[in-house]
Amino acid sequence: MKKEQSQKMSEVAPTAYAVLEFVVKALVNEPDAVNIEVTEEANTVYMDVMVADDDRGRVIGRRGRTANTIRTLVNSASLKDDKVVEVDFLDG
Amino acid sequence: MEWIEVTGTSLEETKEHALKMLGIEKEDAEFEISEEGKQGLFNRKITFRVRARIKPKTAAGRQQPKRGRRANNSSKENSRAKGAQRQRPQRAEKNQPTEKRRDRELMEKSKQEQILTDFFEGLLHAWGLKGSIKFNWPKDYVCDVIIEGEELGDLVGENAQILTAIETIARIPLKKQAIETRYAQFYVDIDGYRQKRTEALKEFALKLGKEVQESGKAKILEPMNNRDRKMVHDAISELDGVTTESEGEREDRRVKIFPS
Repeated sequence: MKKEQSQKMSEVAPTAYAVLEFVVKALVNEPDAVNIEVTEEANTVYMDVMVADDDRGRVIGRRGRTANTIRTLVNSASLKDDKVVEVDFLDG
Repeated sequence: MEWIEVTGTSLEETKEHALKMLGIEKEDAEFEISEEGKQGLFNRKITFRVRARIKPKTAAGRQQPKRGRRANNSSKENSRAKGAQRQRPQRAEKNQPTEKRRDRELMEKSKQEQILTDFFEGLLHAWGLKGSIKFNWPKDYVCDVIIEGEELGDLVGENAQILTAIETIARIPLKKQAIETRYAQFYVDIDGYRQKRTEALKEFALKLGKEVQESGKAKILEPMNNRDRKMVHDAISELDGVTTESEGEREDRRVKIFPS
């Protein structure tokens, strides 16, 4: 149910979503465990990324460097969607 | 190979800065800790001073005489450091580089190209862009990835911010698959952006260097990222009588050109 809604929401900012999904899956060891939930609120699209426990370090990186790099990319991709996207990496 | 010298408040952080400046991975760097946890005279801050360079690939390179200023550490350097000390020197010593990765065999070129191609094709596709990917190997361990296409401007971004981010990310799949092997340092260029910028920056640096040569007065450049700073350091190293140093922290880090 939730997943369906999330998949539809990915259409809100399709480029940003596709880039985020591709990059995260390229980094992790368990791409199948990657899940991105999308919500939109007051002109901002929130993308919450969940990955397997063992992959969390990989997407966040030391001092959040990888996470910030991913944000930079997704922000650039979101220009094409004409949306403001905020990416978060969630626990569990 | 040129040495750079950086200071910071923890050994890890200092080394990280050095790597950023050189634009290389830890495996490819050689460190020398010239000052470990020195306490300033008038403040309580602790300074680590680390010299680093790109690891020479031949034994001959390692025997190069050590240059640079080691003894002449002013307390002015200490005032640059900020934040609390996070690591004790004992721990730091344990973290000294024990190099293994560089002794490994290089991953086959075709395999590295395959991994990078998969990554960049996937990225272009996700971004809804079209482009071609080509490789150029100036050395066995240096790979230029050349991406050409239309409307790739978003992949470069202001000050090549996006391009740099892409490069950082692209390294990870390569690293993941390089278990018993090592992989090349690779540089990504999109629509010739890097090339043009390298040339312009080099020209600009040389012009300023010559001005410093003539006037004997130091010049400080705008803040730049590690790669650009390295280009300036490299360009100036071709000139006699002037030398460079980076100062400032993080986003504010800039190159100073001064008479040597």
